[in-house]
Amino acid sequence: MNESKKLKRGLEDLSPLFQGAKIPQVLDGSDSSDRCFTPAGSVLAVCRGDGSNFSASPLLAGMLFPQEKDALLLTITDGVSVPKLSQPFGGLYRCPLSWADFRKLCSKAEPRIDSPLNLSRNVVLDFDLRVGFPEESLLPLVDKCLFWIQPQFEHLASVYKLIKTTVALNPTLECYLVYEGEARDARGEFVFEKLAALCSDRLGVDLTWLGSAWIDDENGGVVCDLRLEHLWLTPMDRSLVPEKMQLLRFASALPAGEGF
Amino acid sequence: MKETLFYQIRQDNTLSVTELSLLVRQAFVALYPGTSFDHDMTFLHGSENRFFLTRAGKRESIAVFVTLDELDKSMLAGTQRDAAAAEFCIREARSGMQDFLTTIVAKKVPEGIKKEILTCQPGLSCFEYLLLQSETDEGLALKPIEKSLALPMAERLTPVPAPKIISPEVLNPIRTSDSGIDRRLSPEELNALIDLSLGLEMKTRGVEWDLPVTRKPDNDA
Repeated sequence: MNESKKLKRGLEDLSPLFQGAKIPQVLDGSDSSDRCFTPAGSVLAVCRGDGSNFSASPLLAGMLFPQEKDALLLTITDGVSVPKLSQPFGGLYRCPLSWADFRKLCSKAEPRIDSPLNLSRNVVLDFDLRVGFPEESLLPLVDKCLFWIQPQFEHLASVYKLIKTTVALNPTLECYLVYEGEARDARGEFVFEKLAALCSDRLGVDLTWLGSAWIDDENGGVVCDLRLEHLWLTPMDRSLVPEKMQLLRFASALPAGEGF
Repeated sequence: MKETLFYQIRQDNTLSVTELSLLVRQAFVALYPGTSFDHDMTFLHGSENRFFLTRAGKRESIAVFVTLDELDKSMLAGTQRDAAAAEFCIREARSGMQDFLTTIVAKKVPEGIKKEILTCQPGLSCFEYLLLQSETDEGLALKPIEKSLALPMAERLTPVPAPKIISPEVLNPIRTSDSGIDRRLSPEELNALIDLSLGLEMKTRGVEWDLPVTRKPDNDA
């Protein structure tokens, strides 16, 4: 396993004395403070073990990207109930597209959008895998994929299969693991360590630990203890799939504040 | 140590072979904490699971499960003339001709091994059956049952709801796809995931547990 991607342990992991007054962050989609450095020109996606995205894509997008000029949250609406009007998540607006329109947008046959080569925006793809999109068309477009996992056999097996399939279709994909549970639940790191070892041994894939997230019923949001800066630790080895470049060009060319 | 052979005639509400493996291993772990268990899964001749216990550096076979279902025709076909005969065997087996099953499988099992027919009866899961078996069979009673881990006897005898069936989508290719990617899990991958799942179960119950991800090669089968 790549040394830089191993689970990081520091003083704060040894004793609560070193943890200071760290409080998990509650996300309700409106907080846009405390953002980490986010380079442009990446395509991100969230995959959950059961195929649903748990509303995690918009929340994550809002957390990662403070302003609309930084990223485009693109929801593929087939099989997903999406309000007709765009919704703000952090500084972002959700842009709904049907699968057919999405394919058309990425199609090489379409006239290229006149956009600068400098890619100024990221794209967060929001889709529901249970709908049955042709993965061979969708997954090669993704640079970074966040796999959300629950401590159940079905989820473990399903996420492992997803990783197996995804990396077969997209060998340059960066894989991250988010444990769906409380931050103090030690099973999260246990799952990561075992699954990372399995993926490394069997698939030659490095998993990076991002942390924990869970639904806070009382506060009506998702409570995250995520180290999102890990997303940008390694230089991106991006595949230059033409469809992806077209997608990023489109996102960069779209004027901020307009959405669709 | 005696080797116990179970047959499970698969019906609509019975366990999948993987779930059966998971439950059996959970039972063993609960009964004998601190010992090392692993198992082989062979699909060549039906779905066969052989469980091993390693103690004092010696690896012993302690149980074999054979699951018969529509996918396991090859097992019967191997002892019959053709697949049509296998179809007949399965149908007859399901109608209760256990003697016939015993005859078929006995050809594969060495003499002296204890053989029992286990059909999934309402209110008595394979898991409970094994727990009960472990108390009455001296050969399996290696260590006293940890009371904190084992279920009270009253609970064991209480009818339990049908176990949750692992979705076929988990065990088989999730979706049909034109990508040509084989999404099925190899027996080694399945074993590793079961180990991981068991580790989670043990952590939930406060038991330290650390199985190697990569299973050792089987030299005893």
